[in-house]
Amino acid sequence: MSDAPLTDPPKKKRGWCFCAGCILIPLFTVICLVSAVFFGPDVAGWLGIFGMQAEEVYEGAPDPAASRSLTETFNELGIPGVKVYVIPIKGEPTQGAFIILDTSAGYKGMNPANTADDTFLLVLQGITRRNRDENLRLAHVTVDYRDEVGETATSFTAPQTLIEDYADGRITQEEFFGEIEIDLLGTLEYLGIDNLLEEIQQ
Amino acid sequence: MKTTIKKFFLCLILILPLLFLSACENPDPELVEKALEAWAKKNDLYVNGQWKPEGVVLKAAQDTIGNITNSDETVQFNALDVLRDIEKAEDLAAEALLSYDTAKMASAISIRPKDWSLQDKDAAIWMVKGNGAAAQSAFTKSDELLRERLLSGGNCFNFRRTQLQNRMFALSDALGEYKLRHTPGDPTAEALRAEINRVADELHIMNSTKKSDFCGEK
Repeated sequence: MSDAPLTDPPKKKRGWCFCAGCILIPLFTVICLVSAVFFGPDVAGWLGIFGMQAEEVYEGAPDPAASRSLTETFNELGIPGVKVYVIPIKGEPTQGAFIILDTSAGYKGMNPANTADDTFLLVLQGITRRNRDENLRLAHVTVDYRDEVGETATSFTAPQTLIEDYADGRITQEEFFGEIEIDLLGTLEYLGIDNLLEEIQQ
Repeated sequence: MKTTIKKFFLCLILILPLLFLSACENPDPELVEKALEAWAKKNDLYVNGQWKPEGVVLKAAQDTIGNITNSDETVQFNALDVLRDIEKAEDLAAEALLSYDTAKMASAISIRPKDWSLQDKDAAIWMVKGNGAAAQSAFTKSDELLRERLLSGGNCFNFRRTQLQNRMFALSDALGEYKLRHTPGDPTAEALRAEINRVADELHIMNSTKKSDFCGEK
């Protein structure tokens, strides 16, 4: 037996490992989250988990003949300030059509002559006809509305099958617009609403 | 905190009408308004004549996830930046063709390195400059890029035909510009004409036989 006086057992000291853990775990979590946001799409793309990014999907040369043909649809209807690009989609036998309605290049609306015709429907019927007759193999049509300085104000995209349903009279205009995709984030960014939200939150 | 949340939702309530007001500034105000209304109804942002601001948050969250996962729609919207690159590269290439500026053409190619049509324009400039080896190298690069592209699918015959049509346009543009500045019978003009004829012959054979040597169809 020892004669040493009884004392309280020494308090277990929390070592530097504990403190490092306090700092490292949140730090690691933050790094993981930031990496997921910034590098996630690239890594996922390489691993084939998610789809390819737009730069890769549309890396090939545009199809000039198809682009000219679709631009002609607008020229025939007397609509100026329109440029169309048809670009092959990587990994698929189809192509994407991109219609630029550019106010800075003279675009004044679908019906500049103010005729009674439903010009929008005529445009979609023209695209559908050329797609079938010239075997353009369109998969999507995306419309880019540009403002007076050439900045994208809003954009929407629709699969070619949906365009054909409307052009052929199988669905109404309202049903067509209900099914398209509008770039909400891009449009809000253009309107400057993201900055407004940030200011209010501060 | 409560005040911040109230302000946040007040702002969200303002967003939807603002989105619609943006249609007024558009060249197609009625059309865009109709589109936005039908789209808002379908996406539960506008239900029974009432704005649903929380719907905007949900839709924005869906779009953000779509951005990370490269959803089909997001790819189409992000492709609008690719269009800007194409336009920039085309403008540079057009200027390069006018001034036979290979450095400018290199800048265009650096924007769209996998675009074989720019290689064909580069080749046309090298031909005008009398550097046949560099021109041939650019044509070969263009063919290689197309073959690389075809590894991931696509109709070889259609792609090759489009590539040759593009090549012929580039060479004809170069010849047209060149003839304006030089006398008839110039050797460079003759070389350009010979290359145009070679491309035209390949196109003619493709159109008549519906086969292409490039695609390994004999």
